[in-house]
Parts: sequence; structure tokens; C-alpha cells
Amino acid sequence: MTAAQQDSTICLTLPADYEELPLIRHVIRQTLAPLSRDQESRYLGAVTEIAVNAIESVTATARQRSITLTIQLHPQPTVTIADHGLGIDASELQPAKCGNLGQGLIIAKAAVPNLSISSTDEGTIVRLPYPLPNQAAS
Amino acid sequence: MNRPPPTFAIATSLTNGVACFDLSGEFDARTVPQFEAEVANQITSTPDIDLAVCLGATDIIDSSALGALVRLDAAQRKANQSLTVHAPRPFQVDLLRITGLTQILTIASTCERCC
Repeated sequence: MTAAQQDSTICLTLPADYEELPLIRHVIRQTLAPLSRDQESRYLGAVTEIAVNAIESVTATARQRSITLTIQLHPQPTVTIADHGLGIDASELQPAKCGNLGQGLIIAKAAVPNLSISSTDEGTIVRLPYPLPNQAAS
Repeated sequence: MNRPPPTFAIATSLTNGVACFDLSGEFDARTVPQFEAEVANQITSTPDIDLAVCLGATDIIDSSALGALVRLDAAQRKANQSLTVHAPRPFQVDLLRITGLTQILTIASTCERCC
């Protein structure tokens, strides 16, 4: 990673706790360009689903009880959430363990269709590209 | 870093024999326990009552929140009472459709009382 790339990236390591969800959304709102109300609700709803999955994934293990939020500002704004949990089966979009409807990933992919998932039994990284300005008004 | 202020609120009222919960802000895994406690308190004080949940002022809703609504709906049906979800926003309608919950939950597109 170059110095310029490092300058355009914000990285926070947070406790794997639901109490961090408002902070995650707050940092994204404050850092990236404003969206329309509905677009923001869709995007941050997807981020919430992924964050909850990450929190639940690491809570189910004896591993590092933290998740990492990375906000890349340039060239394509992107939010990345990483954990050291047990991983997910991305091909089937089924969380390894979920305390909700079990459809969090499906909901997140519906809201952010171009999100990408990289998952092994060492952890999961989910990248959620931020909507482009010309998509923000939808 | 300063923490953002709490962004979830519940206004509870009793109207024509229906307990109404008007939710605002961020309804997610963190705030579901608060919602379920409020509902439990209401049902304890006025058992066997129909319920309404208005989503019109919510900004965030996740699958944990949808799960809470499904659990509440099932409990109400078991008690021969109803739950109606009012005024879901467009993106919430999409989520309800994606998850198949439009076929399970009773949904009213508007909320004449609070929206």
C-alpha cells in the first residue's frame, strides 16, 4: 500500500459488541458523501447486517473479540468489515451462526448487489462499495 | 472519540384497544432488546391486546429487527391477537418482500395515527 493510499484509508478496530453499531454508522456518515435518506438507509442497513454477522461470528469463537472497519476514500469509496470468526459459506449465502432471521447476507446483497465476500475458516472480509454520487439520489 | 447519541426511541400509546409502538431511529440488533422489553411491559399491563408497530420514522432496520417482528407476530397469533406493521418505508418494503415476510406479517402501507 502506498503512502497516498494509506492517507485515503481510515481503519478502526472495534470490540465485537452491538454497542458499536451506532459508532460504525456514525463514522461512515461523517466520512463519506451524503446520500439520500432512502439510499443511506439501504446502504447502512447492509453495513449493519455485515457488522452484526461479524460480531456474532467472533463472539462464537475464543479468538480475537474484535472487528475491523476500514473506510477507503479513494478511488472508489468502499467500506470493509473484517473479522477473525469461523467464516461463512458465501456461495450459499448462509451465515455460520446467526441470531436473527438468518437472512442478513441476503438482505445485505439485495441492498448492495456489488458487495464482495472473502471468507475462510480464519475469518471473513466483506467489501461494500459506496454508492456513486449519481446513484445517491435514487 | 465521542460516541454518537442514542438514535432509537419508542413512543407507546393505547388507541381504541390497540397498543401502538411508534419507532424512530435505528432498529437493529442493538435496540431489539429495548423494543422487546417495551412490548413485554405493555402486554403485562394490558394483556390480550392487539398491537401495532409503526416503522415510518425508522432509519435503519436489520434482520434482527425483522426477526423480532416475526417472533412478536407468532406470539400474538398464539394468543389470538394481532400485530400490524404500519408505514414501512420503500426500502423496508423491499426487505420484507425479499425475506418473504409480506406473506407472513400483516402490513398497512400507511399509519393514519402517527405518520
